[in-house]
Amino acid sequence: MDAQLKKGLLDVCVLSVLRGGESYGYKILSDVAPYIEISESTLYPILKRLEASGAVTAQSREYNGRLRRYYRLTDKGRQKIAEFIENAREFQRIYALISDGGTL
Amino acid sequence: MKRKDKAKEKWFRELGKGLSSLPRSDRQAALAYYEELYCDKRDAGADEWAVLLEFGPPQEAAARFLAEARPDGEAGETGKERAKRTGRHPLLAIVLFALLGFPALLVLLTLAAAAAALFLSGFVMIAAGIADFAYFVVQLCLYGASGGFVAHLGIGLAVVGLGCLFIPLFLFLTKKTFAACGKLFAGTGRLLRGRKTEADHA
Repeated sequence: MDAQLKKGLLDVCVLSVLRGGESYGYKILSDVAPYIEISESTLYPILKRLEASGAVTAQSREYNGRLRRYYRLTDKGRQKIAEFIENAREFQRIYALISDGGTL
Repeated sequence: MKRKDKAKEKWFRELGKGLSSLPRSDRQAALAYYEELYCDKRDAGADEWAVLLEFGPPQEAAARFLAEARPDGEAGETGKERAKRTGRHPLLAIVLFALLGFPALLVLLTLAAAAAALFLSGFVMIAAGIADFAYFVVQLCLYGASGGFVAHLGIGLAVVGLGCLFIPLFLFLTKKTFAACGKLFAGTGRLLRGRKTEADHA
């Protein structure tokens, strides 16, 4: 898969698994991994980028005597998911054109 | 300390070294991220060795991390583009080396020589004291007892004693001097390579 396309998809995948409520690094990895290849080193910059863009908020809290960083989806993050779904519908039409000449 | 803990400590220490190009706060955040993942995987039942194996060699993990963390478009940029982006120029690097690197190298060499001399001076004092003592023992045997000869025996023993007392202090000062040399070397290297400071990222 194209690196840029995958990068965009991973951002939305991470946002999507946060729709169910706040989560943390390991759980996000476990939730996303069955659908798309993701590694520890890939997830970190995604989380940083999403946090910087305001799509998620992050908070460190104590868990089991150690710190764990929890990420929560924001309204901006929800909006990004909605935008992606809208773009994906458009992409489906383009895909139909590419794959079988178009049905519209 | 358990072997697993030692292995973990070593892995994270090596990862920290691999991420040394990052500003301190970013490096600490990255290490905290890996530490959290390590603990979560372990708490989920994974073997600690297996977690470290899964992370891969720390140098490779650091390289992957830096590659992934690189901002879009930075990969493959030319020297000119980088110079434009960072505001640094190869000529500036040469001037910096001439003005900073070379003097810093001289200072480092001088400090290292001073540290080596300091390290040896305690042993030299002991050797000198023993030589003085031995010489005046011979003088006493050859020419008979004299106040001056006996006084020199005392001086020789005192110098040996002082040498023994100073050795731990000299060793401590030598260690500190070499540590200061290392910090100066690393700091100058960072400055010359134009790595971003925390202030740049703030």
